[in-house]
Amino acid sequence: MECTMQGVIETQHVEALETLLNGLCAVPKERVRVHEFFLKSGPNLGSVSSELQLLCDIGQSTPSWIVRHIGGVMRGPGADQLSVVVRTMVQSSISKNALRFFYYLGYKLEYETLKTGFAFNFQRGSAKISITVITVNKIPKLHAIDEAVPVTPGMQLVQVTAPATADNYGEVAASITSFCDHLSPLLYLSKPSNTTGIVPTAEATAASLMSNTGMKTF
Amino acid sequence: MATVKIVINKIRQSKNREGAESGAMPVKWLLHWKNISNLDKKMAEDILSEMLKSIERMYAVKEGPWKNTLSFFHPNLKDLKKPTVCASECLGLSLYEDPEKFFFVLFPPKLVVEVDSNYSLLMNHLGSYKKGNFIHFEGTRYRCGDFRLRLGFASSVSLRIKAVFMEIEYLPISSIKTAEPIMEGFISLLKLLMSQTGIPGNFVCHDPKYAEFELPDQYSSMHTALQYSYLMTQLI
Repeated sequence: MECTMQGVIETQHVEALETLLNGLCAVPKERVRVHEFFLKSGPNLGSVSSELQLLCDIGQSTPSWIVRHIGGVMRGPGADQLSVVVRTMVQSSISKNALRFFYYLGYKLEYETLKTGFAFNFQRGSAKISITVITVNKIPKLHAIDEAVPVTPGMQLVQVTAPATADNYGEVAASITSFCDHLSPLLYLSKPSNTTGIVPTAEATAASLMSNTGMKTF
Repeated sequence: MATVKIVINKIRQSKNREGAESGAMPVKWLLHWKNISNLDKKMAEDILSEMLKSIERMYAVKEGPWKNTLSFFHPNLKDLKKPTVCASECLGLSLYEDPEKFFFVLFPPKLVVEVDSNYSLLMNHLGSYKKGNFIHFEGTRYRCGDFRLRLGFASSVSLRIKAVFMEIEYLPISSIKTAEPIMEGFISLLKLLMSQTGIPGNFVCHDPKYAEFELPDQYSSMHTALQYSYLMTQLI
C-alpha cells in the first residue's frame, strides 16, 4: 500500500518550489519523463473490471517498464482523520513487451499520457518519500509522444507518495503531512479527491524564495 | 570409459577456446526421456537411477536440490458462456536460478514476459486471471567439469504427469549458437551411455525456436522459462 497527497501549482512558481525542495530534501533532483498507458480489463474478464497502469521510463538510455495497480482506498473514521489517502498499490518491473502481453490477456488501452518534470526521492523518518512535480500531457494519436500537449496549460501537478504497510501507515502519513506543511505557503497538498487549487500566498512566497537565491520570478 | 574421457577432454578444450562471457547466463538445454509406454513411478525411478549412473561415469559431483514450478493461469470469466477476447491460458514459471523473477509464456502469440517475483500478488489484486494446476520440476544438481546437470522428475498430481528430464548447462558460454556443437557432443555421449543401460526410450531435446519469441542469442532466464513451457506441452 501507499500514502499519497496531491496538489497543483502554477508553472511560474515551479522554479521556486524546486528551490524550496532542494533545501528540504537535500538530495539531487531527478528528471521525470514517463510514458503512461492506462489499461482496463475487457468485458467479462474478472468478477469486477480492473485497471492498471504501464509506465515506461523514457528518461533513461534503455527504457524500463513498470506495471502498477492502484486499488481501493482505506475508509473509515481512522482513515478520515488522516490528511493523506492510504490505498493499496502493487507494482512490478516488467519486460519491454508488457503492452503486447496485456493486450493478449484481454486488456484494452483506455488512454495514454506523457508526464514530464522532476522528482525528489528521500527518506524522512520511516517513510521513503517521493515528490514529483510534473506536467501531464495528453497524447492525441496512438503512442505519438512527440505530439503530446499539456492537459492543464500553465499548471503542474505535485504528488507526494510513500510506500507503507498495514503496520506503519500512520507513521508514514505523519511524516508526509509534516513534510507537506513546509510547502504550504507555496502549494496546498491534500487527498487526491480534495485537490483545492492554488494558494493565495504562492506568489509572495515564490518571490521571497527567488529573491533569497538572487533570482526573480515574473 | 576411454571414449568418455576423450569426449570430456574435448569439451574442456573448447572451454579454453571460447572463454567465459561475464555478466551473461550460461546456455542450457532441456531434455526429457521419451518412453514408448506410459511411465509409472517404478519405471521413472529406474530411468533416473540409470541416468545418475551414467553421469557418475563422467565423474559428476552432487551439488544439492533444486526446484522449478510451472503454473497455469486461466481467465476469470464472469460469464463462462460469453465469448471473451483474451488468452485462454497463460503459463507462469518460477525458476530456482532466478528467485527474484517470475516469467509468463503465452503461445500463441509466442511471448515471454519477465516480471518481479511479487507479480502474483498483483495478479491476485487484478483478479482477471486465476491460478490453476501446476507442475513441479525438481531433483538434484550435479557438477560435471564445465557442465552443471539437473536431473529430476516433472510431476503433477492433478494432471497425472510423471516424466524424467535433464537440464544441461554449459557454464563457460552464453551464446546459444556457439554452445550448440558442444551441447550436441555432450548429449551424444549421454545417449551412448544410456543406450548401454538397456532402458527403453531415448533423450528428446526440443528446439523452442527462440527467435520466434524475439529472444536473442545471449541466453537468459527467459530462455529457460520457454524451454520448460515447451517441455510441458510435450507432457500433456
